[in-house]
Amino acid sequence: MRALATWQDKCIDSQLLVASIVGLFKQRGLDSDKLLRGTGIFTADIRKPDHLISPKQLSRLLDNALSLWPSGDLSFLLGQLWLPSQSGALTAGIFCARDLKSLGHFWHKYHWLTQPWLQTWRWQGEQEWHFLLSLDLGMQRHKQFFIELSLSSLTACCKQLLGQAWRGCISFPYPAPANLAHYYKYFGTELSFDAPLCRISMAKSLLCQPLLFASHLEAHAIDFTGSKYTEQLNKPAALQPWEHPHASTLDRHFNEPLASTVLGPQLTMAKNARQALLAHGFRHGLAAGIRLKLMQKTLSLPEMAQLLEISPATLKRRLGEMGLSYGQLVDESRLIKALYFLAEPEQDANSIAHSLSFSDASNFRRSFKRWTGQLPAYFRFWLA
Amino acid sequence: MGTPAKSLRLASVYGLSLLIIFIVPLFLWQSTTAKTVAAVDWFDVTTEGALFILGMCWLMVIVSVRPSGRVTNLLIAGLSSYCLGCYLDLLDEIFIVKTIPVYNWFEKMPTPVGLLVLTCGLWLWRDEQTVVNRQLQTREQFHREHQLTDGLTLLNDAKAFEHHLIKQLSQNQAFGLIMLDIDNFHQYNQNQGVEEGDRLLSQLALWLSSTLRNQDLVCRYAGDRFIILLRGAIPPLVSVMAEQIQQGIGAFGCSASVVWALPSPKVLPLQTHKAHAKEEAATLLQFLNQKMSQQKECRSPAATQAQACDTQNPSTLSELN
Repeated sequence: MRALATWQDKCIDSQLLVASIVGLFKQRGLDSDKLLRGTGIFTADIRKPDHLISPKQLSRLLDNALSLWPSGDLSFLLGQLWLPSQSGALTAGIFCARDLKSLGHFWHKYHWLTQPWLQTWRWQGEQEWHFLLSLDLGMQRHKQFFIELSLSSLTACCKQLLGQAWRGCISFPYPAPANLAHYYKYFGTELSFDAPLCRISMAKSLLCQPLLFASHLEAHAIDFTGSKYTEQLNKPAALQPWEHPHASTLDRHFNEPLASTVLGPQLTMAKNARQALLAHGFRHGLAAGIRLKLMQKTLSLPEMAQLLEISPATLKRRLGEMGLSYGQLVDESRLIKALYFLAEPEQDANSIAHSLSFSDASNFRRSFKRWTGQLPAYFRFWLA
Repeated sequence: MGTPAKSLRLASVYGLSLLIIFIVPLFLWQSTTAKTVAAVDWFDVTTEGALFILGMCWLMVIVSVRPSGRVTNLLIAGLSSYCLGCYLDLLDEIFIVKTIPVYNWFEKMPTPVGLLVLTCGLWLWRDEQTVVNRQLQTREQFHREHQLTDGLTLLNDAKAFEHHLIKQLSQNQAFGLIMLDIDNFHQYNQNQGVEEGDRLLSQLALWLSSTLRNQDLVCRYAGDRFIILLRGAIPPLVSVMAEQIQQGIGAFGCSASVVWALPSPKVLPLQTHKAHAKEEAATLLQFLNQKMSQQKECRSPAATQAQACDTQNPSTLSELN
């Protein structure tokens, strides 16, 4: 498996988000030298193809950008620009997608190229698909910015591809912000705040609606993992993290003889993305990689360090640089699992406590209260 | 306001001050003797030096923000003369100047003359500001808070609007709200470029503020969504206004969705006044946004449905009353 990107690793393409920020600043006549001050990024770098920056540099850049931008709408403006100017190698594949579902699948597979700071989990409910959003690469210090950015790119993208406004409801993991007006404008009015995690719910019918551009093409999907995908869907509501259990499965899919299948033109569209991902030195950030492993099995810090082939002290330090602690990641993955279990009617507190390796139900309740401020019953069917 | 003229003025002001700062001490050095270190009153030097530095700071502020014109010239002339006076005062702490008779005159004059000129300038500034204030009144009814202004359209932003709405709610007077949202602004931005989109927004803002009555308030809510507060409005006025705006926007080469609401004035208990008004304002805004989302949904698939939506509009009224 590939190394996990840490705070100082150069893994973020500066042609995309960074170039957009600099462009917006220039357009509004703001000082782009002040914007880049202290980041170690130079204006000339942004024009270089394949120039990469580290999460540390990005974080510094955002500190500057948010303090210099005169109003609270930077993330929303950038989100509107995502499809035309920040989707990079994914653009062609996105326009070829048959519906939002296959688009989502494609995006999920390659989003490391454009939004490496995101990690998503999905869950199929009765009427809706739920998507949980976590942040990677230590970007949780700009949590609100990144959530606004990702969601406004989602809604703008849907608007353009569907030809109508995006519909769905969103829960935000923070209290109602000062720029609530923008939330109403871009995300609609079905919003809730102070949630334990960022959750996006979309109706199944919306996800299956054919996209405008795909109707021009032969209606084939770009999801070359089609068989595996439907298999997953048919499973009775089991834990379905989107991530593949092993990164190697991705490579296996790349090596499959695909050209011979019916999916001809769409595959060549996705080829760019595939090659770019193969050429990339990383595929997950440290936090995302650890979360993935924790979803399978709860491990202690030394066990995890051994698995990642570094010393426990190094792991601790690397997480510390990103403003994270190992315990935080363990809690988060347990919370996600708990919420999944709570959505299933046949599970009760005892069985959930058991599967999350708590000693008893009251212990589980206490921890849950600590994570969310509410008792588990409050979030029963949160993901239903 | 011409930028080259401004930088020229800046250069001449600084050139002159540098000249004085270097030439006068040189001249004094040549013609008189300096005091010994023990004879210099360092406390005086500090206070007079501070006055001089402060004066220079004021000068810089005036030069950097004021548009060019008569008032600015007077202010600059007055302040520079005052600064010169301060500087010469500072020098006589170090040099023994009593020996040069001309210098004595030269030293005393700049400060009073400068202050006189400055006073004239300030008086003219007062006249200018009353005109500017009258102009501003067409845009905003209330006192101006520059933190709450949207940088692009120069209208008040959502935060300021909420503030005004709460104030209005606690006054128990009738008012109407109109919210408008440009259709497919996203596409407009993509086809015409973001600069063009920004221009459309600021032009629209200008048009809106000139169309509305003096007592009305228009704010940029978020992105391409605007919100208007109509004071003392009666139902027909609000609906006519909404229709007028919807038609008027056609002239900008785009269309807009418009929704409106006419909340009835409520008598609020005095104790919970502020908190209540705040809550009420939040609900109203959410209601309008909801209405807008619904209308957007109906409008996008086909134009025929849009009409159905428009006819539903009066329901807003009944629901709120």
